[in-house]
Amino acid sequence: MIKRCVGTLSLLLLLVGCRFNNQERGEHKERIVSLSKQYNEIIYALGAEKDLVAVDLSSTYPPQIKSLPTVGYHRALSAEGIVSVKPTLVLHDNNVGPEHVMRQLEQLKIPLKVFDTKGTDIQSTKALMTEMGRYFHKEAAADSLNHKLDQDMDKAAQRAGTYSSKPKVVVIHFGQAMNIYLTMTRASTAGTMITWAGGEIPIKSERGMVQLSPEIIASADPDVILLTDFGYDRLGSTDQVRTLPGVDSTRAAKSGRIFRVEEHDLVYIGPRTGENVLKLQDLIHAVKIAG
Amino acid sequence: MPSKSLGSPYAGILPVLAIAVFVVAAFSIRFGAVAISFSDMISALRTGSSAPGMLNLTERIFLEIRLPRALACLFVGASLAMGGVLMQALFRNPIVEPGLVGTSSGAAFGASLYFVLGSVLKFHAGQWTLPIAACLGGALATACVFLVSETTQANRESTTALLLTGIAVNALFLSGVGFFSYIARDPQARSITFWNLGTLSGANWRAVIILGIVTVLGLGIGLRYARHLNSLMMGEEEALYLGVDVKRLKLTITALNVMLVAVATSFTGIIAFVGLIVPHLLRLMRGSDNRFLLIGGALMGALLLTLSDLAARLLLRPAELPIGIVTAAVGAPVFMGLLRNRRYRF
Amino acid sequence: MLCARELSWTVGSKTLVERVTANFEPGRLSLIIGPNGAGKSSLIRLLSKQQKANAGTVLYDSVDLGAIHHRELAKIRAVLSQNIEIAFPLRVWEVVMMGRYPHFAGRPAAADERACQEVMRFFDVESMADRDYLTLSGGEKQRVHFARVLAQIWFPLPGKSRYLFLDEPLTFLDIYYQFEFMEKLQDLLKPRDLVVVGVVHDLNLAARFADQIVLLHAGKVLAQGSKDEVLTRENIKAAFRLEPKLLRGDDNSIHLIFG
Repeated sequence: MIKRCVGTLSLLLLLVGCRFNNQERGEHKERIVSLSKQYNEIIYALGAEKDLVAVDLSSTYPPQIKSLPTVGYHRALSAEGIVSVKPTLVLHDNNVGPEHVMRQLEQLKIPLKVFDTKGTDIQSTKALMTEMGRYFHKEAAADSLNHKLDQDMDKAAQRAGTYSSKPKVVVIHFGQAMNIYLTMTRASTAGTMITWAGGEIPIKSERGMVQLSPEIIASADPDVILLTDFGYDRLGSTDQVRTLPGVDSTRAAKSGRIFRVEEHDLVYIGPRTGENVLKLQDLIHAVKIAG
Repeated sequence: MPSKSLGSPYAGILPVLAIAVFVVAAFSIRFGAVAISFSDMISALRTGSSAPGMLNLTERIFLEIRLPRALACLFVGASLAMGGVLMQALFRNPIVEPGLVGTSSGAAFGASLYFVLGSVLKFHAGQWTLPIAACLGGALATACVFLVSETTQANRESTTALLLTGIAVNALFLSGVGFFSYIARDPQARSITFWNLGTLSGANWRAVIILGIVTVLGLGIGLRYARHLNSLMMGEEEALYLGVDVKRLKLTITALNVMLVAVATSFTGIIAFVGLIVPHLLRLMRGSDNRFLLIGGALMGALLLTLSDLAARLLLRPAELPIGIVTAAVGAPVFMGLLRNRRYRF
Repeated sequence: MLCARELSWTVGSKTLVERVTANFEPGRLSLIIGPNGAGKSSLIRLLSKQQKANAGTVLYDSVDLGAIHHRELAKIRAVLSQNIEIAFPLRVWEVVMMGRYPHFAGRPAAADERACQEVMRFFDVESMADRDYLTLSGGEKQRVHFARVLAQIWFPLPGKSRYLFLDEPLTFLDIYYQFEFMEKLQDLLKPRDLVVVGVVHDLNLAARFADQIVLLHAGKVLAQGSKDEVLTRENIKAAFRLEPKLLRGDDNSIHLIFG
């Protein structure tokens, strides 16, 4: 029990960095609090961030978003905390908690908004960006984002056709507290992106993430192992990654193809997804690195 | 010396605690993420009673969020501390927590069930579904503990049987929680984790009323049995010789504990250590008379939780720390100090 | 008077007490002796209603023990157990006051406080009244429990007897306090309305102080009566498997010497 608390606390503190007690800058007409990392990336990409006054803890892209004050983890919010930044609008994607906080905000007549479109794949994300473009009066920007996404995805599709092999890729995500390593499955957003990149995640499950076990890694025997930033940074280096149970025997470990990736590039579809798929392609199809 | 009545060496500290509670409660309603001044509060109360439609945002926050939360802190802290006093008296052991008879793990089980399978089971009572699920879970687990321990052959010291059964049932229900965490989708799993760390942010007036009734009832009934719990300190046999119906006492006290802890936990999630450290601190300060421990416990529990909640709300504002982390951060060192204290024998 | 008629207690296949019949009169010190496993503690449990017998009756002043409510019983009957472990710090006077619990509901009355004062003085623990019980020596703790147990039945009841059971009360006491306790018991017995039934191991103490001795062996009464009747070489040998030398003093006292 104690360990769980301390672990979660360290997790929170690590995630936080120095994002608490950030002061606000400048005057705002509208004061928007946005609690979705997907929305936030799109808002910045559209150039509509001037009215954003606070975000949730897990919104980490683009880097300048980290200078905004945060109202906490999106599943552990508090009504008073949100109200204290004096929002005129709270944006969220129905992935917020605890439940009573939304109710309290409604009771206090704070305007809440969820965009109609759910951006779960390329088409719907483009529609979401169009909807958000209209909302923020940045239609032109939205169009160009969609166009770029299409272009990048086309390029990726082309390149995918040229690859001779389909490498097996395992994506390890350092999950909750206490050394619980989670791996993303084929059904996750990362899995879809890897498929677009011409690879495949050999781990199948209905859920987006499953708990890692040495057998899963060893039997999957991936060609490439990707670690999200948090887990990689915690371990420190590729050699440290090799010390995870089951990893050492894999082809990926032997050929040194263990790479670090940013979590926020893989967990939702956004304007840079096409770009990220291209980057993934480079990563997973790269020529073997000696040693 | 013996002309002192049983209350008097303890009498001095209770008023001090009461005043401290009042002061800290005042801090608790005054400070938070949103700035609310005392004049705001007064206007809120005035407008709220005469023209509730005319309240501004700050006043509404005070009346609908800040004030019920402060009161909930008092009641929940008092309930958890009293649960601790009762269980430590029942088991004659100062490292016992109210969760030992399964109440906390049962409540966690009920809550996890709701988080993960709630939509499947089609049971809806609106915002009350989670508290009801947690309460039922807590009561179920404790009932299990009692039923199983009653069927064992233990003759003397059947409290040991209760303790051991409690450990087994706890393990069972916690593995259930683990299972739900495992099969949960990611957001649900996170809900479970954060519920297990506790939060006072869900306090509303309905909750406050229920918590208030439960706390007062718990204190009243507990005080009636305080003397019997004192006799129990010497052992079940001695209590019997002093005319105590030990079996009935165990049942009543455990039921009382379930009522106090399950109801509180169902509104706030699991908050650890309050039930453990408050009785210990009071014993160190004055002594072990259960009447004193119950009243002092209610006051000190209220004090401790309100302070913890203040810290949880202010340290990282506008974000909030789960309160279970604060109470654990304070409780763990106290717990370790308690273990090293050789005055107690376990 | 305390009457036991054909008391039996069996647990599983083991018979702990078998058809014990005995009378214990107020104003007399009755001591139960016997080897280990003879059923002495079990008998005390049956007589004090800590345990229900399988067969037989116990009468307190002609009233069946089973008919007396446990709360009423606590006002007239007190038991000193062998081993009392208290895990929490308590003041000595708090422990003694617990003996008065059967007599008051909310706060102790003046009579209760007076009882505590007198009994603590009687057992010479008044000077430690404010001390933490856990810091006392074994003997001091024992005396505190004497005080508590006697406090329970301190005041005489008109027309009724009071009952005191002592299960090996002398364990932690040095020889001075052993004798002192026995003498104090005799003091308490003077008003003739107190029934005292105790279990002791020391046969010489029994010989010295008991008005009535019950010798148990394998759950049955081997002999009962005065010291002359019970403490014979044959009886002792039968019960304890050791033959003693019996010395008679000028004052008709009996001294047993073993070895």
